[in-house]
Amino acid sequence: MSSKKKVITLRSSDGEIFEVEEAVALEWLTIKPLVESGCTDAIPLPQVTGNILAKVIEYCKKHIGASESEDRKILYELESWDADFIKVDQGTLFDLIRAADYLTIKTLFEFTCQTVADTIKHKTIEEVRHIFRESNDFTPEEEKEIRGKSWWLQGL
Amino acid sequence: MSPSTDMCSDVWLEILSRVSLTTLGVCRAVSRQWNLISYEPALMSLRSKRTDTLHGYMVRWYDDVHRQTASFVSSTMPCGDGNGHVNPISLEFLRLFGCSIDMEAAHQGIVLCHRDNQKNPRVPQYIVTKPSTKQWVVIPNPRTRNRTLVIDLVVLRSQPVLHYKIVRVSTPYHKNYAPPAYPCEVFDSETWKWKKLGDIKLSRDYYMCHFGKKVTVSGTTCVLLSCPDRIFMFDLIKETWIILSLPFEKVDVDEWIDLVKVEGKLGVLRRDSADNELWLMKDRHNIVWCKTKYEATVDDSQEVMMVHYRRHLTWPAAVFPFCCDFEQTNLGPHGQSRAVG
Repeated sequence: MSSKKKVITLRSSDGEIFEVEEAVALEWLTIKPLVESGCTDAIPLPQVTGNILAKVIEYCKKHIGASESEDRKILYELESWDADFIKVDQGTLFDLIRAADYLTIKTLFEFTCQTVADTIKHKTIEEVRHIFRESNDFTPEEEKEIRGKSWWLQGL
Repeated sequence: MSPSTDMCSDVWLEILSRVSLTTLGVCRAVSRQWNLISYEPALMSLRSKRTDTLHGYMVRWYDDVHRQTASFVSSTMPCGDGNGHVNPISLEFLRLFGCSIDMEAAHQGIVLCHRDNQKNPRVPQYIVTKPSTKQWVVIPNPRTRNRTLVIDLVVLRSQPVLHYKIVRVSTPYHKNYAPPAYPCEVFDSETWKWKKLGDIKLSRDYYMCHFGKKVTVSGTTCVLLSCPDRIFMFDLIKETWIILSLPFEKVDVDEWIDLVKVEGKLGVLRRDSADNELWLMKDRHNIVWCKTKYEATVDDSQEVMMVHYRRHLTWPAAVFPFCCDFEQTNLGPHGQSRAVG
């Protein structure tokens, strides 16, 4: 084996080419088998755009190795880096979730989902609908019934 | 920006597994898809791992010296205390009263207990408690001295200030061959008073007993009456009641009828030797029922009873759905409650 780190080539949906270290790509479970089989061609990722893929790679590069570190200082630094990283608009945040889900990157998926969960804290039903652009598809009767219910969480 | 609705339900499941109980309640009212996801059994087990909440059942049972006991069974890890963990929820701390404490109802992590009154057994005494924080408060005694037939507690609001109501129906007066009149009273945590409502006059054919199956749905207490089978529904928000007939004709005496709660709706389960069917109340205001196939997975209380049986070799007297967090909550009037260290 050569001592030089092996580089994997990725192609985003809009044709941009990215190069990542093999160690980073091995964390992405969706493409892991391809990487392990020694694929040298650019791996097409038709569901991820270039700007999102760049963000994903940025996150994974930063996190590889660092997440397991037990050094408090490194972990603290990583936390504040994460906080800056996730200061993006809602559309980008959802794109990141979709990308992390599609590529099966556990750390990024959990981190982005937690961020969304934190955003809807203390929000009203209308605000949550607006954030997720979910339309209200209840009939007026159902709406009335469920609205009352939501406070005491029936069925749990 | 692309619309967010094309996100698959796995993503919603992941997000909803990370929110507080109150936020989950809000999300449940967002859309049909979210409403459905919020009832996924998988969500409960994810939530137990990620948030400091417990989902399961409070089980009321009698121990080997015939003492009434209550314990918690988790629906996400039914064999939970097998690996040395102390069961986090119990009512043992109420033993400080030095008398028998019976669990009567549980809702939203709040439990209503009946305390034996040694001085005057005719006067019932009640305690409202949040077992996860070991907080409790003694509420005023009800005005009616008749024996309790049906009692239920419903949490109407948990944020920002807890608001709950208790309904109590007691044994009827029989006067001059008139139909039996069941005294009915409601306790409101906001006024901290019991209020007598008009007596519930039932036809002599119906029979309300202490052991009728009780299910709480949308702030309404539903009790199965026997002979002939009817459902008594008491709406604690409006403080009104109705009697419903079953959605089907009961034909066979062998049939076994049970009230269940499925996805937050009232269900009537009909079982005979050959078949199981489930009738769900789709619309509570216009009383619309729909018949669906019964699958054992829709009602995990049966499994909880089995788990309990294997653990204690006795069948539970009753199971109440129970979910709670570990936040301190003010149970009493003007935010008072006591905690046991």
